[in-house]
Amino acid sequence: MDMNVLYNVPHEIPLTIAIATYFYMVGLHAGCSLLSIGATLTGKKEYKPIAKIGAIGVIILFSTAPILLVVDLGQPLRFWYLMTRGNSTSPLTWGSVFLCSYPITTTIYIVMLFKNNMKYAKIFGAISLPLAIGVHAYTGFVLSMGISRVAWSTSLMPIYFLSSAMVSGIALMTLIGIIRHWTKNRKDSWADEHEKETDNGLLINLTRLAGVFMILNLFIVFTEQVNMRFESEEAVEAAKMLLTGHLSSLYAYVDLGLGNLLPVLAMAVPGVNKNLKVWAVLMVFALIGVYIMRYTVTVGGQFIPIM
Amino acid sequence: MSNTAKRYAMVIDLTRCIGCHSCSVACKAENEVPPAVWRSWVKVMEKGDYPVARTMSLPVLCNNCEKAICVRVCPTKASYQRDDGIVLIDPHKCTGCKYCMAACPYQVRYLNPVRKYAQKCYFCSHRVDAGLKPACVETCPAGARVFGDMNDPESEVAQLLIKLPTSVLKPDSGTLPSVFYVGLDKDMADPLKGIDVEYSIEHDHKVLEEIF
Repeated sequence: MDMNVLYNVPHEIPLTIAIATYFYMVGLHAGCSLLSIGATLTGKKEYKPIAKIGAIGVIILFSTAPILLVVDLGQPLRFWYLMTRGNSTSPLTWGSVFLCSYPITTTIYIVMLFKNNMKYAKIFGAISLPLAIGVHAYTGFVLSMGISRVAWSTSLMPIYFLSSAMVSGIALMTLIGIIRHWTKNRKDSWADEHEKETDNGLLINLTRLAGVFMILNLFIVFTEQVNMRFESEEAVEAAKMLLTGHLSSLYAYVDLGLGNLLPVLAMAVPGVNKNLKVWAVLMVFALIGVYIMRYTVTVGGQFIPIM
Repeated sequence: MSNTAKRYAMVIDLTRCIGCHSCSVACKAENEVPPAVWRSWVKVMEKGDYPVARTMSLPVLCNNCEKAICVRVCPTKASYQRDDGIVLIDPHKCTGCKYCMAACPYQVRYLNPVRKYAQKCYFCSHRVDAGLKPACVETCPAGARVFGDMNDPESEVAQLLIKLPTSVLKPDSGTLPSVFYVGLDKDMADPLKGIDVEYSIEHDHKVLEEIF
């Protein structure tokens, strides 16, 4: 039967690219933070450079990310209302609590780490760990509680956001680690051959860890796609839009293909899986892929008409 | 089950609606709604092929839901619900974060393009408090809109809800809307019917870029 909408009104897309970028930066620093704290808590000496790189990443990203959040507000000068007028049922309030408490414990952790006071670095690292998880998981809840959008409204969203945050955090730290490795190679500033081998092994281990989270990402996307195909008409349209439709060139090819599947496949190829040059490129793909994921899910999730 | 607390609701009889859009105009005038945004509008759709064809109208407005998701997700409690069920926004508390707009299943909220805080239909609470009907109800030439206390058995709304089969938009969202429709066509209520989704995505983008 022929049906045509003759008149309806267009609606503003509420969560814009600024929010998607904020989600990306928060994920990036949460990933860096979790890896840095994890490396500190294990107490292994060879992980110390990773812990310090992660800590610096946290400082830079955390001090810049909230600017995007404030700028996107219709009333930017009222940003402090988010902290003083809390609503316990709103994930944005949960996020405000995490965003206020996390920098305090993390700053002490970072100071202790750089002062080589490992006892207190471990204590404050352990306190910061759940806050670092919360500071990013809340962004997943922001979307999952948006019941009107089928692409968001899934209980897997916080896990998907955390998992991709780990991928981006590890990718950034691996990339910096590889550049550091090459710089030390060029200057020939290694203490001995063993130190060089240990650093090389550490970077390869990081790529494997990234691979684990990439497999988790792919599994979450697979389960979501299967579920959405059996849900409402809107869910089917959203699933098609991401995988074969309007956003497929970004989501399916760049994020899932280049950002997740290609690195996982590279891990299985002998010779390639220990080549730092290849991994430097793949980690750049992973970083771009996670950003694309944040954009397509956050902004793209609002493309399906709901009224 | 009886409930004596006042609970405002609206019944819109779509078999009476003539699609004249006077409700949209009255709302704009009464509430000084800026250009490019609407608190109340009428979606129009044609169905069928000549000679078996008809046009349908669906007036859309805030459902002032009993379990309003916008109230639950508002981080500053700027969105709140009165005891009579009307959902309001305190302009002095709203940060313009737009999360309520993203969460609303009916897309009836907008960010005021000038004042930059969220706004929506309040069932003309200022008129209701003064003992008047909402502007859209007052102006409807076909008498398609009926407003009142659904918990008052003497009210026209309560009697219509008993006498006529009614339905709400998106009952599966669990928000318990307070706007009820008589004669709602399922295709009209389906946001994906009558549009090319792929075209709609691209077209809406262009329109929105021009407006915002």
